[in-house]
Amino acid sequence: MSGPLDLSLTEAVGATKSGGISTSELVRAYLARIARWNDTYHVFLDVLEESATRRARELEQLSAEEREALPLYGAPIAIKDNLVLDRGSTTAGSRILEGYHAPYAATVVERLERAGAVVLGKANLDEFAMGSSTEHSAYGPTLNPWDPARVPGGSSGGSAAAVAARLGLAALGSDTGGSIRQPAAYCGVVGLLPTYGRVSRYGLIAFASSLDQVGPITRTVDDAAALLAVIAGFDPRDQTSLHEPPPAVFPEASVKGLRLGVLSSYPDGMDPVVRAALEQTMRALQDAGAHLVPVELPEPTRALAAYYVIAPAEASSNLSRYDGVRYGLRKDAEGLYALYDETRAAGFGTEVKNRVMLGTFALSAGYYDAYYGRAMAVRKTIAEGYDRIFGQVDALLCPTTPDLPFRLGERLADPWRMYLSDLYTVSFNLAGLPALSVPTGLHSGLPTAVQVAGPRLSETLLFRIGRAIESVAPPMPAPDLKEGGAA
Amino acid sequence: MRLSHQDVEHVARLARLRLTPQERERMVEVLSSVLAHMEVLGDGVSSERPLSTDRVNAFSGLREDRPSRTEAPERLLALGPNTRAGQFSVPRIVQDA
Repeated sequence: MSGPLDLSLTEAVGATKSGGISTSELVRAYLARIARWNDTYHVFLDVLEESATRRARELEQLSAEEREALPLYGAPIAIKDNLVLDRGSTTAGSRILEGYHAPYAATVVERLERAGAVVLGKANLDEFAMGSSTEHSAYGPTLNPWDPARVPGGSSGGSAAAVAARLGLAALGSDTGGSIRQPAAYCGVVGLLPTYGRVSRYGLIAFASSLDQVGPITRTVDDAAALLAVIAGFDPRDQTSLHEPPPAVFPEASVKGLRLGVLSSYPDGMDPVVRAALEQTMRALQDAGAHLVPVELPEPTRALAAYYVIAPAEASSNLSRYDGVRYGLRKDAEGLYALYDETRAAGFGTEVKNRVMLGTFALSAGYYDAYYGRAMAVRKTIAEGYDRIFGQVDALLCPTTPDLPFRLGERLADPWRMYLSDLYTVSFNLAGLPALSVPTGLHSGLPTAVQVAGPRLSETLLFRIGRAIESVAPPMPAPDLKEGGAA
Repeated sequence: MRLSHQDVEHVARLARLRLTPQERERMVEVLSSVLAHMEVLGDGVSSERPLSTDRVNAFSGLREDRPSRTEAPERLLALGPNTRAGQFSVPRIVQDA
């Protein structure tokens, strides 16, 4: 290891506990790197330098016994800016929440801090987590640390870029249709969508409540397991929270004897590099003793269409709370309805307006059955399709994205083309299943990745397979950050 | 399905969004183009039953009602862009007779 920034989460926590490095030194190293690179890559919307420094000092006052009890002792972590915190600002990447200071903290953030983590700041995202590139952030896009002319993915692009660029030891993101896994794949880091209900949504700014889930973005699979073990578990403040204990922290790495579902055919539009990375991983896992079983994914194209009805429909309802009355932006106007209309017109960006309009249309009289009703029927078909698949195989191996990171601006004019990068991720959200994106190396300097998904509550199994994938993939180096941003 | 300008105006009214003429124009194109991709939802729909209860959320339940402390009203009011006498202030909605 060349320095404290290259330590993984588990290594860094080991080092702070043993006294190899102090929590202040570790936090200072991250804050210095943020100060050096954040203006260029635009990873954080709000850097909590003062509270992070203070917290690092407080942690140093703990006894050895107290330190030992904290699984994330001194770990500097980035938080996606749609998770509320009782200090600093929370914008969700939107003008309508500019300057908003939440009066409470999300359950996941409380749990991280109770476990000894230090929150470095709030990471950039597509506005209200609606997007696949962070270009829809009202505060400007995050750049991909591997190539600043390309997007880091989205919507948790700031969180993924922070972890890849060593501006955070780990991060929390949220995943409604791929928003953890797709940016993790584009930035060469690990990202987990937990089983729906595994992690509390209390304090996560709602996008589509039946799909939203908070999860870890990390440099290694072990780190994702360590973070999940802290944030998972029942929370009475989230009605959909499961009465399940957090999954085991350190799973084994063997895939011997596992039945792994693999794609029986490759659809048009898949980048040959993505296919080659997938096939190479399949061969390596087969060599390690896994049995590969060809399966048909339950209709990815219909899943994507269903997702882009259901998620906007829920968003149109969830975002009705931004009305200029209780918090956030207000545009005064003659009459209450005019106040709503003007505030929302000024506060929401283009993609949020697209989705609010799409969702409102899908729920409107005369179109409800044809769009929302059918989409929910397709959702059920997809979930049943996965029930059948996981009756035959232990887990499923497929691409995370159909492509590699695309260039900034390339897809802004064509929303459906942007939505297509969620082709292999949305169906697991629709079915409420866990899925893990694991990097498989670099191709021409850009990261490649695969996705492994399993039945409900199978995160321990996914970590086991993820570790096996890590063990056969080349180690991911740190990206060489460049001054000046976009080339 | 292709939306008309009237359709877009109607949906914008329901969504409580004021759109500029340029936004309305753009929205006709964007929504029509996205909705064209939704046609696959109708494929084989007759054999599918609508989702009557959300299977994903089937395990959720309501907690027992119990009195508890809430945020101090003044902290919440401090977030309001316009407050008066301990309340959020909005334009008058009832006219004098």
